[in-house]
Amino acid sequence: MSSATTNGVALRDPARRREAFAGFWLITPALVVMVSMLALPMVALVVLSFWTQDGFTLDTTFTLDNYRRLFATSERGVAWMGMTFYLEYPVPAILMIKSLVMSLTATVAVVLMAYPMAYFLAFRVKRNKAVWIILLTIPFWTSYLLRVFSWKVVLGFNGAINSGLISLGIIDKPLEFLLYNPAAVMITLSHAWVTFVVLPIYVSLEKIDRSMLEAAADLGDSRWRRFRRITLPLSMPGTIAAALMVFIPTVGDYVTPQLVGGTGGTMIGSLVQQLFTKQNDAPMGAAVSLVMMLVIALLVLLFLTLVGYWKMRARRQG
Amino acid sequence: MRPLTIYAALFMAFIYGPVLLLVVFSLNDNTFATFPLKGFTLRHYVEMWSQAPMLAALGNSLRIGLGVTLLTTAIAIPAALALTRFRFPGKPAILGAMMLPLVIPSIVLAVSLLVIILKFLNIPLSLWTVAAGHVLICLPFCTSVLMSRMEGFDPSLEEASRDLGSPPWQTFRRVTLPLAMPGVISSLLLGFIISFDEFVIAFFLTGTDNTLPVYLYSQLRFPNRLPATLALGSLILVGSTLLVVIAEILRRRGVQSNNPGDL
Amino acid sequence: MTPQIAIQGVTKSFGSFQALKGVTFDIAKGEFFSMLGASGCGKTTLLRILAGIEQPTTGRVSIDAKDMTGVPPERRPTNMVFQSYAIFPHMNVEENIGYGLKNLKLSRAEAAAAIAGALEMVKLEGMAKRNAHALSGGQRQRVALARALVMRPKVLLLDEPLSALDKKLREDMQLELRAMQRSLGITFVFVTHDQEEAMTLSDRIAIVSGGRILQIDTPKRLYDAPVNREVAEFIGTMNLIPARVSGPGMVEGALGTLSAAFADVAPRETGAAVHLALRPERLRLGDEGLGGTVREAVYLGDRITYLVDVPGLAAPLRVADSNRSGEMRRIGAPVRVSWPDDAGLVLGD
Repeated sequence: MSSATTNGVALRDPARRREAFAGFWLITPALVVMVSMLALPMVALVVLSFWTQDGFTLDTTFTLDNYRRLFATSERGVAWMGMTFYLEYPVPAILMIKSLVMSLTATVAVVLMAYPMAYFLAFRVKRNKAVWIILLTIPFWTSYLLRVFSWKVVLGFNGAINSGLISLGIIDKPLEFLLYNPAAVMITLSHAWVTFVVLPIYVSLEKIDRSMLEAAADLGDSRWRRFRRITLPLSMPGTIAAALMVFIPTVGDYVTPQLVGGTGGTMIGSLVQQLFTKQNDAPMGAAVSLVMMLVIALLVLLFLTLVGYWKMRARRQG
Repeated sequence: MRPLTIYAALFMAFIYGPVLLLVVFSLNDNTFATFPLKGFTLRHYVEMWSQAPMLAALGNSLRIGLGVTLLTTAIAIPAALALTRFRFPGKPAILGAMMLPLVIPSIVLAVSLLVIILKFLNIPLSLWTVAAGHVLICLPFCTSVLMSRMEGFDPSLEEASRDLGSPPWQTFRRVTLPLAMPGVISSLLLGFIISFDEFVIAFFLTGTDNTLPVYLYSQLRFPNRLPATLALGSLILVGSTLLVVIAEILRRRGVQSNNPGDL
Repeated sequence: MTPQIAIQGVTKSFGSFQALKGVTFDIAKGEFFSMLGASGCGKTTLLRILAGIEQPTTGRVSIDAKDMTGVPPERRPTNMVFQSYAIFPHMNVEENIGYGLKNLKLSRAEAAAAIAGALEMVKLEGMAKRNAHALSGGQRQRVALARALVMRPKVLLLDEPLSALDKKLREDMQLELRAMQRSLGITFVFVTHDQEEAMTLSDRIAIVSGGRILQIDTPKRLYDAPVNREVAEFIGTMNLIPARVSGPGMVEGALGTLSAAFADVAPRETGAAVHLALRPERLRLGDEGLGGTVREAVYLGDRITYLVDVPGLAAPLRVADSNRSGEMRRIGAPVRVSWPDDAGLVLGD
């Protein structure tokens, strides 16, 4: 039932009007929370991004200065990772690209790690499935801060790997490259989010009608072809949704780069935090947050359009 | 063993290994979190309890967690009811909007709340502002737990109750609420865990008082206090794990026993 | 017969889907009334409108001359047996049956007596404390019935209550339901997609299709005088031969000019396209009539069904032979098919 018809024709029906009214009444408290604590703060953030901070005073005249500064070009380029940024204020752009790349890498790693686990859970585990599922659920609910911190303990200068290797006599000086770099951030992000992805993929695999696989086998498909032609395509929507649920929030992650990233592993979230605190430029912080969300939203839309296009083409050919 | 089974074992080791190391080092008789292990001790756990700021932060987190989960669940029950049992215009849009806090980076939620609280409303930061932020991030979780529970039982049970003479409120009290109870308890437990473990929003929105994760974060800067921090972290992990297991068992048991198909 | 339920111009839309497209009829007091139709035809929607669970988009329902518009289910003199039975899983048998009694403000003793009576009526004595999870399908069905009847409704609504039971149990329950309805004397409105069940139970049957009522009649009239082709095909089997009206009481087609009874309400103009309808059991194989050959023969014990190819007819004729002679005709054998003059019906689409 489309919402257009719900709006138009059906609300002339008194019973439906009463039902709609009761529904609205019940959801009102939640709507109040959403409006007052999500919608209005977002509006406030947008408004603030058009103001400027001048020392300790906030200049509330409307201006595009913050955005202009983010995109202003400069003659002098700043080189980073083989790329040159001809920007007056290149830090946000560099951190944005770096965050996107790190988050994307972690997302891909997470999906590659999670898929076989989900497959195992859906097709191999026969008994005590609930126990496995609970074991995979626990990390998701337990403290994100502590799970990230545990990697500091593992990878640190005096951490488990270094002290372990030293006490085994394999190395005699702690390895310094383990912690405080982008790789540490990506490992930690993957660890923190991987179980979050296993369950949605598992659900989409579990939903596949087993007789469909038997039919494919009966029609002469080998195990691998069966996987490629039936299991993989049918589990794709769940996998893509899960990947997006990781990619979107990790781009702006703050805890992980802060704890294990060091100076080399900072991400855009750290910049937002600094702008709001140490650098005392909340309006710029607001502009950076909004541009970040916009970039993520555009990338996700682009990705979903590509997936839709690819699916359409596959259908036309198939 | 099949390769996939080996992979699954490695996977679980990867997931639980670092966290278990945290617990192991908290029981190790050493001021550094390093190998080789020096011997078993509960010293760090005992020391922990003598730190007044830690106890204050624990008290704050417990109070916020309890208040937030009660309020959020109270808001989420009617919302889940509306979303599963009523037809009204704009429902898909509202449902989508309610799940937004799941995909918005928590730092953006935190700064947007910070902006409206400080720059527009001029309310001083306190534990109240932390609690408000926590209600926002708990709401999608509590609502979806309750929704999946309410979708899990036959709507004709409520119709039968109406048909047998119970008006809507009575039907809610005598049929819907008892059947949704496992979901309500899961929602209460999960709301509490989310609030109790949440760091970023608390870090931005708290005033002079600390919540436990904020206190823990501040302690990470002092290497000599690491063992006590590890002990505290381990306790939090064990506590959350217990609550999650209870919530999951309740949720699953509820779903299974009310399915007339598996008699 | 006094009408107890009056349904007037009821329509129901779900979004753009029209489940009921204007339905008007009465149900008499004390009647066993069935609504028969394929799934999605609107019969369950109409039952739920009678119960007050759904409200009609337009039109109205009155029960005992009282307009039910806007009256919620809890204030209607109807009770319902749900297709899924809707047994409350968090209560035992006794609590399920007593659920509605709590809303009636009975004394404890009165309620206990009512529950005991209901348990006896559905033959579940001694199961009062049994947990809802521990009931078989048949027992759940009985609890649902007792829970509704204990409320002493003026009208009992039953939504395919037997469809989840196996064949033997279903046939037993049909007889029990019929006996129960006779002894209680209350109106039963029964929804089913099983024509045999509807014919076994009902005083009258409404044939529902595409949100409309096609015909309301006794089982015998529905079978003998269906108003159109759809009803004829829904109740039993029917041979349909395309023809044209050639005069009063006469049709003309591939079989030549024949006399036939016009079951249609509307008079047919000469030249109108119709079907000549013949029930298989009224056709006889013998020495006279149309010549044809046996294409298929199915031995069913109490009868033999033949498909007979007749030159000029696109579809073979289905003939149900009563098997009195005990002889079976071979496939390919030449036969002649005849029927009495009053067997042919003229039906529009």
